[in-house]
Amino acid sequence: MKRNLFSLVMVILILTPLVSVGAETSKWKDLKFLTTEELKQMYDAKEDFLLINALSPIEFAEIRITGSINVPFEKLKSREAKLPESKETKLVFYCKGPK
Amino acid sequence: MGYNNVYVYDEGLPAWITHGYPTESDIKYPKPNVPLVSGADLKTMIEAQENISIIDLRDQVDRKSGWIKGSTNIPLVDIQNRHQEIPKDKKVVLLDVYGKQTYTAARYLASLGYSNLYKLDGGIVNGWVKASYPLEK
Repeated sequence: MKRNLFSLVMVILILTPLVSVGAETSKWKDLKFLTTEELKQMYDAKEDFLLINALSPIEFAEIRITGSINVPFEKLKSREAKLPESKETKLVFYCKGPK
Repeated sequence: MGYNNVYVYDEGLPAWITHGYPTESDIKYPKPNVPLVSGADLKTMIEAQENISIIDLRDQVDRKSGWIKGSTNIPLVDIQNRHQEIPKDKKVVLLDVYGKQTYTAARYLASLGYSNLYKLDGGIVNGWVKASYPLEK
């Protein structure tokens, strides 16, 4: 699934706290972007975070970052996704990138 | 949903792979040649009542905006559980929103022995709606 990054980001925004002023831009403050090196550092340091592959199950089966779990984009969109109960859990989403 | 620590690794899987960082895999799908079908060709096939199966891979939300008459909606995320609904003895035309996901589905179906696979060029948006071909709702 070549689900573009923009769509993924828009859906992920539903996970973040709603900001009372209601401006789209203020919601973005809660979303942080990681570079490859930043993620690799967290990964190597075995930091406590959940690495989430947002692609389809068939794509997840073929190749994924070792240790990641599959929560398809569509399941986030329809709010069927099962995510940890603790709202403090660090969630890191990835897909096929910006192309 | 109120999560306070949400990150996006926006460079994504291709960058991770390029760096040679750790990945894992359960299966490798074949890479079949899957011909494109234009919206005009598909419309002709439908009008000629050709023995084809049109599989709409969009999710249910996108599907609601309108679909091609006679198509079956099997969202890509559900295809592992529902591939049995796709006939092996017919020409199968796969479609999605923009034509970006059909090859993924085709590779998966090819791994299950499907061979008569086609994909709608440009997806339903650019291959069908743009030409103002009819949609069911």
